[in-house]
Formats: sequence, structure tokens, C-alpha cells
Amino acid sequence: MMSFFRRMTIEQLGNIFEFAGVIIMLLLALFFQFWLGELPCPLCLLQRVGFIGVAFGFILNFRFGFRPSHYSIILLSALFTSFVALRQVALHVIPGTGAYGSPIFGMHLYTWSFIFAMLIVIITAVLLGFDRQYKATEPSSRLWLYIVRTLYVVMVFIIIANLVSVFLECGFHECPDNPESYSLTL
Amino acid sequence: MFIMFIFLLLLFGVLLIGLGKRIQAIYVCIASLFLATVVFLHDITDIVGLSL
Repeated sequence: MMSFFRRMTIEQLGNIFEFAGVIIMLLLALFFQFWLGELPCPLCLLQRVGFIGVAFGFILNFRFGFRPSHYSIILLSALFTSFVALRQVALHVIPGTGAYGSPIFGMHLYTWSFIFAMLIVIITAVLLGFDRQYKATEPSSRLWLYIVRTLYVVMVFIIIANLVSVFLECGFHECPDNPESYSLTL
Repeated sequence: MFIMFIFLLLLFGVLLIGLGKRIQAIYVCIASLFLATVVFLHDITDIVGLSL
């Protein structure tokens, strides 16, 4: 297993590292929602959409090979996420305006979301500069294919979880600005 | 409701990736990002004025 990771190129490692970070952010959001009972606001949901868009680009890289168009999807999604997160930070940055959700290590999820989205932009901009990844490569190993399939299943699960939670929270109406309970229950 | 539709689009796009439809999946992802931008603009400005 360690020899497999040692044989990986920096682009593969970078993609895996960033994708893992995005999945952790999305799972953390689901943890806050289902275990701590902190329902996501519309801006929070849009940030989740952005991160799923970022993960979408990485899955394209893993499935079809590394291409500039896939990195373009990643960058656009990360920029969208950063704009939405920055909007939410701006809503609460003035002292006395309150905050949304519980802080992690002193900063709220939307602040971490902005930081992480900008990190994705920077790291992705570096990664897409490696030209060798766009040339024809040798067939992928079985372990790599197994990892790609597992990541794909994880991503499908996360999207379905978010889809169900949005439906329960909002139904067929506009999502409330400060949700305190689900509008529908199973 | 539109946010739910965006998640549905993303799910559809990921399923397209699983089916090997790269270009179609990219189009669906771009469409979902565009829709998300519209929703965001509605949230911050109300200029778009959609009945969501």
C-alpha cells in the first residue's frame, strides 16, 4: 500500500488530498446538521453545492484522466463557494450582529468554508500547471481503480444525503433564512 | 425548492460520470453552477426577482 502511494505523481496526490478535504468539509456539515441539530441556511446550502461542484471536478479527473476542463470546473466551483462564504462572513462580521452555527477552533463553518475554498483555488492553480499529467499515461492500477470507485460511492452518498435533507427542511418552498426545524418529517 | 433542484442536477451529473458520459456530465455541472449563481443573486439583491 505504501509503495502505491510512493509511486503516485504529485498531481494524483494533490487531487486525492484536495478531494479528501472537500469530503471532510461536507461530512462535517452533515455532522453539524444531524448530530448537533444545526440546520443549514440557504447560504450554507449554496456552499455545499459549491463544494460538491469542486468534488465533481475531481471525480472527473479520477474517472476520465486529468484535463484542464476538469480543473476549470474545480476553480469555478471553488470561486462560487468563496463568494457565497464571503457574503455570509460579511453578514456577521460586525460585532453585535450575531453568528450562524457553532464555531470550530474559534471560527464558524462559513469562515472555514471561505478559507478552504481559497486554498482549493491556489492549490488547483498550481496542480493544473503540471503539463505531464495531460499526456497519455499507462493503464491505472487495480488499487487506484478501487480507490476511485470508493470515492465515487462516497460522493453519491453525500449528494443523496444533502438532497433528502434539503427536501425535509424546505419541501417545495423557498428555504427559510434561519431554519429551526424541518418543515417535513419522514 | 430551487436548491433541491440543484442537488438533483448534481446527482444526475454524477450518475452520468458513472455511465461514462463525460461531456454531458460537464454540461450538467455547469448548468447547476449557473442555477446556483441565480439563486445566490436572488438571495443578495432580489433584483432577479424569481418566485422561489
